[in-house]
Amino acid sequence: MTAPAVLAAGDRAAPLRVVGPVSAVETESGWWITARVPITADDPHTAAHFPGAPVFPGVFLIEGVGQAVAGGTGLPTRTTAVERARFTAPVVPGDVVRFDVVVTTTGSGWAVRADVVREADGTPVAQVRLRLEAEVA
Amino acid sequence: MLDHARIRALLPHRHPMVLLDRVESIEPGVRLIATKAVTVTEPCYRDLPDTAPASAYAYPVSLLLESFGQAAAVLWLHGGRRPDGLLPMLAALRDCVLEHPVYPGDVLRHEVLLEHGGEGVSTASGTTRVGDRRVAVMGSFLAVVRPRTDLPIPTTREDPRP
Amino acid sequence: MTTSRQHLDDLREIVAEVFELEPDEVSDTADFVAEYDADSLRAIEILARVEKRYQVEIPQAELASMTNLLAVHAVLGRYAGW
Repeated sequence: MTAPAVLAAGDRAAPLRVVGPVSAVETESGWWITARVPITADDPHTAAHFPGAPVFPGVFLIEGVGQAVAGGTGLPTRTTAVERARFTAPVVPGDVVRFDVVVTTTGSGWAVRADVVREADGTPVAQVRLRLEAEVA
Repeated sequence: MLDHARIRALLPHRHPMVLLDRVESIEPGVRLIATKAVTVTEPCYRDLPDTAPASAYAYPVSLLLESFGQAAAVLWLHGGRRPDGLLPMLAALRDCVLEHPVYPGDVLRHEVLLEHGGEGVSTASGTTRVGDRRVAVMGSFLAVVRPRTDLPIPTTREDPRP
Repeated sequence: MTTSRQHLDDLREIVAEVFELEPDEVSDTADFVAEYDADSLRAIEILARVEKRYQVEIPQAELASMTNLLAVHAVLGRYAGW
């Protein structure tokens, strides 16, 4: 994939790099993006949420969806709405989660629907719907 | 007003995941106003390269939402709703509109309404402002309390950085 | 129990909202898991809305029995004292 001359995923403020390499397919209506993410114990936020009972914060799954979109599309976007986010099972260090993200181009930006599942047993851990708009870098 | 020590007593979160500075006012079980200053010393700005444009400094939406959620949790749990061993967790969000980005130097002012505060589940809504400007409208935050003992055991050990 | 029908229709509206359906798509006895692909969070969302609407406290232990609209109605009735 070529690197477009826009904000890369690593070039904006983020509590942590949730999503590393992604695989992205451009479709007629947008993109289809997947990413496989190991949840590690070395992130200080997770250790502090909560001491002695680390749970990967649900909001970081939303963060991960945004990073997957940035990495997969190369578009400079800003999240303008979280229409829905549902956290259906706790994610803990040692889990590997998979993000399946569908990005649809709309009139004024992009609509994002993401399913996040725990890879080991396929348990759904989150469903996220976002609205994104273009950001002027 | 609740100072930061009181916030720590109510929330099980710890640094760097405590995203509230002060509770300005609270009407127990009804509404709360809480503040959080965004500063460039926060870990989310640590790895930004010198070449990053101004827009790269927008405060991450995930942290803004978490901060509001913690304000909602304080409103819910204030008055002794959290027995030992129970952890408040965000379970669902609906219709949260991020109207304007937030930058270092801004002070977030969350105005939270407790829509429902039950024993095990709560819903809250509200707005976040920076000065006079509304930056976010939060449609609904659903939170639950979960027993510590219910959580899956991590398969990798904690390795907190210094 | 004269208002039972009204309560049931209020609950149908709540359930429909949570599942993002139209109220007439929610039948009295359709199993939430089998018919609407419910997960445990949906039941919690229903519980929160029911508690708020009726100003009652329903213990989380009841979630397991709230498997269809009539069952939600029955649980609510027990705690609302109908």
